[in-house]
Amino acid sequence: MARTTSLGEWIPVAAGVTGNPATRYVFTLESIPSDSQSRGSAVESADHYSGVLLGDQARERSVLREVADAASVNGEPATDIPRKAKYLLGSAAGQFFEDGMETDLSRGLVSMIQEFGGVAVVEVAHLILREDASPDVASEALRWIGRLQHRSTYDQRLWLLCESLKCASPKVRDGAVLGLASMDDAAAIPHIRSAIGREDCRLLAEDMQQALRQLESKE
Amino acid sequence: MALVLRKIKRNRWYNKRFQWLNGDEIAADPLGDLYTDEGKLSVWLVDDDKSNLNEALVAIACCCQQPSNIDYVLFKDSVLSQLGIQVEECPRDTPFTRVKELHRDLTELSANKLVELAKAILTGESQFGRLPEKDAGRLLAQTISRGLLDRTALNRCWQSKVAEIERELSIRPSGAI
Repeated sequence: MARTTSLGEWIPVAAGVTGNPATRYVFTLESIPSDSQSRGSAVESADHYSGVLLGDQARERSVLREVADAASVNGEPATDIPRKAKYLLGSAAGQFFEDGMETDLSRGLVSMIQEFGGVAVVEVAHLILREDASPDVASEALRWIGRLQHRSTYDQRLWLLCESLKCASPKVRDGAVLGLASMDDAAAIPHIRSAIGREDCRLLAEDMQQALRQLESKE
Repeated sequence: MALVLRKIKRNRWYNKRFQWLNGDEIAADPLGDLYTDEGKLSVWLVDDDKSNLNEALVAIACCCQQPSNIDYVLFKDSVLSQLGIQVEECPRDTPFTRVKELHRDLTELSANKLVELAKAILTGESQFGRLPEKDAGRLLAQTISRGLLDRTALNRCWQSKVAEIERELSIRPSGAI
């Protein structure tokens, strides 16, 4: 089922981790900015969405994937959301993170996803999966992405957490496991099993096993 | 003989052998979990058989702003005497008052001693553990249902997490008819 927002339309394109259709953004051609600079920036931004969510093959199928600087989500120019996400994760690099304690990052992340929904998740995914965020920050972000109660972004957040199990940094993989344990969704079981098979850090492998047991107990 | 419990983030203790480390050096990440205040480090004492480990974990969980997993490390208290680290009885202000006497401060800690402590924890017979968020909620719910902890002493986030767990486990909230 397609869902229309002020920025464009989310359309089902492929099977997601839960077996439900994954979604991605499609932008209307009418809203492409006329000047080349804005257009370039908009296209780069649109590539984030299609590239992160679908991969190259699907990207080739995509015809309408450009975004206008005039397009907006909740009144914010859509092209601002990548900048906001980058600033939020970038400025958190010096923060100290402790389990169970809120930080500017956790508050900002929760607020951004609640305000901008899937677009914000995709932008955060872009930064984490391209490993542009520091491992500590990405790890903390993933924990909170799993803890967040936000129904409309559920599939995207679950997808991001499963994908993050493949990140190079063990800290990021740990954040992904904690996030998945918080979501407590048995759909993540095959992804965690695969991650355990790849894991070379003993402590982290134990944590993955523990999360796996938790999810298996739900089946 | 007792065990010393310190709340940590496990991923700071993965002990990754970076190429730039020399000899027996360790990465500095674990020191992030050994932050001191005027040379004092907060720890909990747990019995050798870990019979009161869960009680200490409840006390730690109560002090968190949000429901969360509790990562911890346990090491023998003999490590402290070997490193010449002073221990001071220092009851902790926690909603779980029953165990506040288990709290200790490690005192007169220099930067050098902290590095030695981190090395001893990493290379000794320490036990690293993680109490998952869901289990932490269960533990709190059980402690409340046994009448050992007043739910109103918990912050709002923990109260709703505990209520969710109680519904899941069909535990009747204490005080309910």
